[in-house]
Amino acid sequence: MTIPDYCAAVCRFVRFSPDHAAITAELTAHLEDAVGARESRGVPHEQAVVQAVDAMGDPAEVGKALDALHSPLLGWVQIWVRRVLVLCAVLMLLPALTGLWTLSKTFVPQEHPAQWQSTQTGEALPGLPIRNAAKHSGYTLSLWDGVRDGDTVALLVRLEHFSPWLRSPSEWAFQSLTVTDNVGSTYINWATAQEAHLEEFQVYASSNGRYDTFFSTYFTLTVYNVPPEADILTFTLAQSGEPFSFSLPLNGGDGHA
Amino acid sequence: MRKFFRKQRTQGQKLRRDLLLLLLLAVLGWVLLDFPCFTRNQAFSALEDRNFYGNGQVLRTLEGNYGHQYRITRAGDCYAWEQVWPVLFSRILWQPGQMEVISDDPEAPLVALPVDPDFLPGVVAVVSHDASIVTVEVTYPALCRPGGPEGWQKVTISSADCVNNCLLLRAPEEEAAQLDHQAMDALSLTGYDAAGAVVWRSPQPDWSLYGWN
Repeated sequence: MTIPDYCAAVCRFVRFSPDHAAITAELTAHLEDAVGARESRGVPHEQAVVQAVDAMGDPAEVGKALDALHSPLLGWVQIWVRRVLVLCAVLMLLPALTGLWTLSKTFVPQEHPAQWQSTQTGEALPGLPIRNAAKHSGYTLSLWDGVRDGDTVALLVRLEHFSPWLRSPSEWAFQSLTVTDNVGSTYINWATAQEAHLEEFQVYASSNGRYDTFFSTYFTLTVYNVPPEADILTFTLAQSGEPFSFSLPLNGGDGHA
Repeated sequence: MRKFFRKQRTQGQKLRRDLLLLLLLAVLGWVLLDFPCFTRNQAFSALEDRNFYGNGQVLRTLEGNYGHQYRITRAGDCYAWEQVWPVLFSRILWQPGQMEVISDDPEAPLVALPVDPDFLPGVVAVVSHDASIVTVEVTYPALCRPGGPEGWQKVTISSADCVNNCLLLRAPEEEAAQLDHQAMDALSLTGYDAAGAVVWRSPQPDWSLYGWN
């Protein structure tokens, strides 16, 4: 029996046909090694082949043992799972590349927050930025920049988070901020003005998204009609079971709540 | 024969490789679906966090069209109407939806919550502060009711479906579309006790002043 005949005889007992080629290659390599060893001891080639094949054992026995190792069920499941996965990967490739390109752009802001002040008029507030001014619901709030223009104070607020589920915090929550100052004034926020059908409001939150990144969002808080004697503005968000607040010292200082 | 046992390790390696490919595809899909949440409660929690709302006490839950889930919660002195939806109708992955918060008015025995009629048509949610109120009646203006005469008409719906002091009222299905944003802003509320006597009635809205009564 030649080596190819032996391999074919073994493979007849292996039901999982996709593995026949690998088994044949493995058996052939093993038998050729055995033939080579015998030839190096001076055995003629034809005789060396016969001896190596005989030493390998009954092809039926070897085939049944290999069949137990190469389960057709597991093998076909693997093949079809791989085919489906490859198909899915191919189908997802184009939208994935488009989506990843879009996602990658969210890690870089369209404009740097340092440019915010150039869009504002007025005098820069001292002591900013104040990092970690407050923490709430997984967000860390920082008072990033601010200007005072007469009786108007504009403040750039930065919200940082580490969870992808916290992207795009609600701008509407900031419309409900209660703002007070150290001389006893309370400022009417936009949400209260809407609810009471008032035409004028004194606190307004806005976001243009140009400074936002995947892990940070910026809001501009504008407070109108701030008297000159006011030194500290205190912002409180009380529309929840866990209110939080932060302070903005208009003449410099620590803004931690 | 020992050499052939390598084949089993190779199959295991193939299996690991396939599982890794599957995992990579799942992560890629999760990113492309905009980081959906893995459970409905996680989506509600993320929605509350995004709105700086804290963890609300759930008063009512209900399901809308397309598997959208809604719940009414209370946190501190506020009520919220929360909405999440399943991704690809799967109910495996969820996205936080919309949320509206209103401050409680402790002086008003009944407070209507801002249900968005676009997502849950024909539903009104009312919170009661008065334990003697067992039935709530809601009246609103509707234009061109199906089968009715043309022009504006008053529509009244009532309900005694009260759980955790929160009542849900549903307009008849054929009239659900009439309960739009305009109508939701002009609700007139009346609370009745078990004997059917009026316990409280909201101030008359503007629309009721124009020859409706």
